[in-house]
Amino acid sequence: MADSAASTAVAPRPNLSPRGAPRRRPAPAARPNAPLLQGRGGSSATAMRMYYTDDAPGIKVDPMAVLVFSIVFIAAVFVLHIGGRMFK
Amino acid sequence: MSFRFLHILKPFISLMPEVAAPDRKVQFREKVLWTAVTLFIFLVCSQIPLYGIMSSDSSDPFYWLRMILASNRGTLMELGITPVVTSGMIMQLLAGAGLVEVDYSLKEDRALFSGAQKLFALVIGLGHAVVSVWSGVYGNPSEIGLSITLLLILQLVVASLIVILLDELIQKGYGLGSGISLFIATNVCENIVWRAFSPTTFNSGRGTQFEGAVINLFHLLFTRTDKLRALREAFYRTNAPNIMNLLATILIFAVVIYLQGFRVEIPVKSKNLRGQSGTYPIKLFYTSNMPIMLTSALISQYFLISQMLYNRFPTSFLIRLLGEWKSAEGAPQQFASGGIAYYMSAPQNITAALRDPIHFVLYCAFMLGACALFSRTWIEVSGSSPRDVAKQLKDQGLELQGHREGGLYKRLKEIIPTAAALGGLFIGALSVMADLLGAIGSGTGILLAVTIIYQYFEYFVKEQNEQVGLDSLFGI
Repeated sequence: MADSAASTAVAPRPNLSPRGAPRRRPAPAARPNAPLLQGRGGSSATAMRMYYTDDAPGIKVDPMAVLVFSIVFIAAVFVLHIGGRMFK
Repeated sequence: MSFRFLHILKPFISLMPEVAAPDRKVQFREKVLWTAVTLFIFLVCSQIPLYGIMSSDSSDPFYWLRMILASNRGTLMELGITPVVTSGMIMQLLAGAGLVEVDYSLKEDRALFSGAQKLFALVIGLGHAVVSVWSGVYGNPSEIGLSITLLLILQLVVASLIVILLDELIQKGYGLGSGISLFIATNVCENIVWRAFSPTTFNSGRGTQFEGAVINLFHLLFTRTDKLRALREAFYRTNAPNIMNLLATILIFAVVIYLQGFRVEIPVKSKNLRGQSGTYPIKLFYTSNMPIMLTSALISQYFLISQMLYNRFPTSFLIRLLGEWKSAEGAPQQFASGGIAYYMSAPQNITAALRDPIHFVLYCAFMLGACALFSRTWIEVSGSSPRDVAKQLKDQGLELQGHREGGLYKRLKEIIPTAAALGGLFIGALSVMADLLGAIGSGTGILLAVTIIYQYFEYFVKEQNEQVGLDSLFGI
């Protein structure tokens, strides 16, 4: 992806190639252009997406914990449904 | 003073759960896995009914919003991504208007702002839940009883929290893309697949029929003796999704994907690296699905208010002018039958459009105009206007081939606004077409889904290229 200086998210295939040089030439100089690769042209989520940072002062949770939490929640609702049926 | 606002919230913000960022680069395969698991949770949640619902057969005021909010009525995903979207929008508006001052260069401010968004999302979720339960969406609260009422609210709030966390999880780099667009696309696709292959049967008066269009086609072909009649019924039945609807859906998908490839390529060259040249593409769908999203958000908000007012004061002239509402026979869902709202709603099908051409023409004009206008405005708001793009390219040391400095901005200024307006117009036209052809899941829904899926496709290709690039970097 090093030679994708001018291509954006809209160009799946980077088409910036140095003239007369081998096509793939990982030049670190092109690296800083990476930010351009995202969000060009206002994709659906730019305005509505929430802004997340790595250093918010919240309680850190592991992604696995999120999964477990969701599954426990789903299971709890299931139990409620079954319980509700049984004791009626 | 505005600085203080974020600081006041600080104690609450520090109580918010926050997904820890990955401490190493997450592999592509792993990302796909996380995305799949997240989707699975979302899908399960949008199927499980809320515990404690008495009834949900009143007219659904959020009918038009469900599509873009990825919500399913009466399920744990009743609110869908509403809290996330609303909070994100409002907080950004507040920050943009300077009511909440955020200095993005300060680490602490960024952190507080992100935390405040999340807190706000939860508050919105809670508020939404309380209001819907209170107003009797799930049955009269006094009949339901206090404990169940609280349970309902709790379920809705926890579900909102889960959506927030899943979205964060995906956006922080564990998954692909963003949670909300993923959920929207999934919701629409699920809808389409269900309508095509649903095994539910119902009695149509002339024997049982399947709800799913494809299944129904085969069922009719095998059971009926008159095959031609059977085919005709499968293709044109009006009481359930038919094959024509399915074909229309596929057609719209194809057209959108085809149009996605339309672009103008601006030749650019690098200032710093001599001889480096390439192209900067500007797509026809420069603003992607944003125009249709904004338009339908606007329309559905209008419908919501108009419907509410009409049900309260059905006789007032002014309110009748805003919109008259009537429910179709057999279903509690209300549709606009008069007033301005009628001219903002899509005709049911082509015959309805021909029967009332004024409605059709006005509707088209409104949709196309609104989409083009929103698209044009959006580039300014989202920071993808010619000026912004020119600045970005300049910062990267890129300039237009064969021109001196300044030429690039001029060129961009010619192309981008045109692309945006035209793209918006096309998106609007496609949406109208989809609605007329009766494509499954409404024009808006399909367009949202296709554009999101296409974004994901690009994302996949990009990720793949990156992998190749890295491999060549390390000489593998």
